[in-house]
Amino acid sequence: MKATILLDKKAENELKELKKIEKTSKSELIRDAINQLYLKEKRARENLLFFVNLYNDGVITKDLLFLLLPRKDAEAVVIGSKTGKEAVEIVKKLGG
Amino acid sequence: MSKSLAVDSSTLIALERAGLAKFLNKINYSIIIPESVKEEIKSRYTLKFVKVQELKGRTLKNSKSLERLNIGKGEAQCCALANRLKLKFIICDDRKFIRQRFFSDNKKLQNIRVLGFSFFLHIFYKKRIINNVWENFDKIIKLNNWERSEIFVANYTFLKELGY
Repeated sequence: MKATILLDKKAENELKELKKIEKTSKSELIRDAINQLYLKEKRARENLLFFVNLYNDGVITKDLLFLLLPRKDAEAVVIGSKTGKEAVEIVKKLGG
Repeated sequence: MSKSLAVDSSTLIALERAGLAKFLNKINYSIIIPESVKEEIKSRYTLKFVKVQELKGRTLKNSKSLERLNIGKGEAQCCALANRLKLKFIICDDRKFIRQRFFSDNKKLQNIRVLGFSFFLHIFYKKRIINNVWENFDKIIKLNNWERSEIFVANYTFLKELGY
């Protein structure tokens, strides 16, 4: 996959500095940064699924969820879980 | 007799993106949408499978009262339509609406339950239209950028609780 990355002045200067220290090319540095971002997001997604299962099974409480996850993720679990469970009740009333 | 469903544009667009809208005429439900939802759906193809209902009188008034709570027009009209059809739910995958409903203490809003796209996946699976629910679930989540959102958790919980 090809991508065009436009850097602002600040990022350009930071990259130049990094290039001097790391002795690697700019493209390599960018590739590394993208890889790290990708892994971070992938880990966060897997992490969220793990916590959704724990929360739905009653293993962890809402308070604990807010302690362990970023606020946005914790809210998504609490709100989504309640919405999903209410939806199941409706479907059961509709006859499965 | 087929049962009715009030469906928001968010769910219809999500099904359309995943190429699943074509199955809407194969289920025993009639999909009813209000005028505002019709305006949000650009695909004429999807509109072939739905019935558009104009809101009038008390139903329109109900919708306007929800709009005053800052609820989106499409979702507000869906809720009013669901009340008119004596349904206790709407089908909607709008993150903003789900959050507004969760944090609201308005009884009208609280009494309306929200089902998501996974309801259709459940029906399609039961009708043997699709044979892999999770594959389609992942596809819809990815195509709509719903990873790590309330929509993801709600639909995931729904399917898990139903034993998928």
